Amino acid sequence: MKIEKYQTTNESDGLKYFFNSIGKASIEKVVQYQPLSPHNLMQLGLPPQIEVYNLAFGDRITGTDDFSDQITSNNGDMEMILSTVADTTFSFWESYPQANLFLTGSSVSRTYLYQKKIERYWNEINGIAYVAGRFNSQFELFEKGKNYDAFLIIRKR
Amino acid sequence: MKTTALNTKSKIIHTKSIYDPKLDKFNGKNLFKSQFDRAQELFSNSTFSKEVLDIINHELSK
Repeated sequence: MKIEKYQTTNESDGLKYFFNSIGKASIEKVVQYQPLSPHNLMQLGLPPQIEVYNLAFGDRITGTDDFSDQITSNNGDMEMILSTVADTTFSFWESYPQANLFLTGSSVSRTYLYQKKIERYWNEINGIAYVAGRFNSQFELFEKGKNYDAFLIIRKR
Repeated sequence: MKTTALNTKSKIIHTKSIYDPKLDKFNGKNLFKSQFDRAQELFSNSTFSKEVLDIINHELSK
């Protein structure tokens, strides 16, 4: 399925991306990939060489490097925004090919939105990654129709 | 045609000026760090099913 995307710019380390959402308003968006602490990952019994990055995105607060994921902008272009965010993952993976992604929403409803998008684009996602959902504090293989509070995207190598 | 374009531009600027103060409420709150801390805490308080661990190990061994 082909969805239009916004053009992005990124910082040279490949961890931060910017684009403008153009709808009722023009809103600058920020996408940031942040590595989770390796110490914590090992304590969870994960292999020491695993890399997991938190994927965060939201509205850039003008004149700062900070963002907000607390407001629903209702700019009328949600599909295009999510498609653009997903597209930054491919650029990110060019710089960090071993990275897996952790994703959770700022609210139950946003997390549910991500879940519905994963379900909708399941065939595309499944071609490049495994998806685990967090249910009762445990990551398990993603099942459609089950409600999770976070997701782990494990890249297929 | 020219009038339409100008109206569109005006509407965008007007809406943005309404939206910006909503964002300004969060200025200085370092929400990126808060979001990251929350994510790290959530992940740290997780376990992994055998199937997920098997996939992780399998992919890392490639």
